[in-house]
Amino acid sequence: MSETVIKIEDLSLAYETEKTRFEALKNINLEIKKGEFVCLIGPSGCGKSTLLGVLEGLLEPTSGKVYIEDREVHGPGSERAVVFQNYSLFPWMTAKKNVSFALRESKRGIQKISKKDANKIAEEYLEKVGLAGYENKQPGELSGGMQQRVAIARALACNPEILLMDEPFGAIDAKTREVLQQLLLKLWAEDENKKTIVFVTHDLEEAIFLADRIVFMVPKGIHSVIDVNLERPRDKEKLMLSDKYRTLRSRLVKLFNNEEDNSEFIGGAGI
Amino acid sequence: MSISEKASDSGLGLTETEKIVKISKKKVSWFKRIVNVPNFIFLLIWAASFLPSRYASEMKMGLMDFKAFGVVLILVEAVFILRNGSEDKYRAQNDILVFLYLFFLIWEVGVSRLNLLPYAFVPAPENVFYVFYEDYAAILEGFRSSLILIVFGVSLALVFAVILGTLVGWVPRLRNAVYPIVKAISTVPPLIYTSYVVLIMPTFFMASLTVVFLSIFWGSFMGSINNTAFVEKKVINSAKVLNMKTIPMLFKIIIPFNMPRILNNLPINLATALMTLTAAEMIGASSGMGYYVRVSLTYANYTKAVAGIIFIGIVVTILNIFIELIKKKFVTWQY
Repeated sequence: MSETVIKIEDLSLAYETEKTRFEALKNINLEIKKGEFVCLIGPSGCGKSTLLGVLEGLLEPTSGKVYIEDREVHGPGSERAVVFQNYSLFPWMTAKKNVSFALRESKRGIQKISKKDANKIAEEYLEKVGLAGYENKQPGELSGGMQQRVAIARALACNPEILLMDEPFGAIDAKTREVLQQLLLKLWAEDENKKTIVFVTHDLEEAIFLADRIVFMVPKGIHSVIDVNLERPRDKEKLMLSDKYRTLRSRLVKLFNNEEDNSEFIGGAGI
Repeated sequence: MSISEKASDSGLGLTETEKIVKISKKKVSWFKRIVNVPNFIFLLIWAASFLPSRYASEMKMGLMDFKAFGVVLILVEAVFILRNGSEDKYRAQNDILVFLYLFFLIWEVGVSRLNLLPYAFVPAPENVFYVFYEDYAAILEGFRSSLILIVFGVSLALVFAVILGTLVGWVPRLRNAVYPIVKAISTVPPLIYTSYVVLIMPTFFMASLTVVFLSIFWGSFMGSINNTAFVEKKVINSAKVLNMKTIPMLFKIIIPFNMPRILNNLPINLATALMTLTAAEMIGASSGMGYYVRVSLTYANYTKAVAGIIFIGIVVTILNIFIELIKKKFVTWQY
């Protein structure tokens, strides 16, 4: 359980245009263990999405290295799957096709999966996320919450070691968000080969509810890493009443407020 | 009554806000289909046809039988009454038909009945529509030869434009080099070099094909480069994290994503193609719809020329309806 899966070493990343150079990340060091649920949290513009982008393999660091299971990361890989914030499904494909297509493409050159098998796996995962009966709908016919369920099914169906999530519930109404958080925890917990999850959010409560560890980021770097020692399975209502939760929350709120005072607005959260 | 077993058992099924409620549209009642303004004007046209005709007595070519015009009117009316429209479309279709019938009414009364414009180049509607009956073989032949060129030329141009444009749009170095050149070329109106192309090509078929191809290609090529640049970033990222290579990326992600836009542009492309083709046909063809109009004009047969012009309009409209049907079938989403 305690072996390191993701290792980030002296990572720096700068966005360069012709005239300006903007340093988004500077000298980041972080290790994430197998089966761990880590939340990256921080004010907007602090580089949390950029850091996730590097893990996704969509952004190349300016200096420093990222290792996944001791292999240096260059570009995306089939051991990682990503859930984006929204509008990331392929709009011309049905829900089922979205999942089976991703499954077949991600395993291309590694493992041959027939269309039939891929469809079967897709149906299975869509059922797991509560979308049985919606397999043949296109994303445009689904609500935001349903689309994110498909996105989760798509990522999980590829059976990755690592699940990278970039504010997946950020654009969803509060009630549905809670249900999806619980669904995610349930799917994560019932997996035999527990996945490592890196989850970007700006919602404190979401981070505390989900994470084993919270990485609190400030512009350019990591401010502190906070352990969340709350028993699982977690129940939101009971959690709210516990002292541990409240201390943790007030600590994070303080961090947030201190930071927001002396950090100026630097840009959006997108990559 | 739950659709989902596993997820809903644990209370993690779809929440109320997630579910989508569909509202079905109301159909138009038969009463409304029959009792309305366009049908009133329709009756006026028929009534007008019974008035004495000054055109018949004053013009040399005389007035043809009302039958052909009548058949056209009945066809239009049949489509109007039997269409399968919903309430919101109904009003627009009504208004379109009011315009059409008013035009027919003014034409019928002003020209056939009162002969307000006693010139040879303003033919009566009876005569114009009679041409469709009398001269249908020549018209259909022209239609056939023009349609082959259009369908062939447009599809060829689009296939090349979309594939090359997507490739160029996707590779930054290619885009930076090619885009300015394409932009310059695509601003030259194809009509300018049509006569030149007709002159240098060995056969008229080759010449027309080249003209149609060129009239569509440059614009669509530029459009494809632009479309590729504007594909939703998150969709591209979703594909990138699947480790897709360039060629599958283009054919499985970018082109399908841009398909609705390509089909949306098809009516404009068809109109452009038809315009350049008929222009080319008027310069140097021996068949085709443009040729038909030109020959009629050369022999001062204005009735046939007007019939040819109307026919081209009908063909374009039918092609556009056909495209709409294709779009409904294959593009079930819009971004």
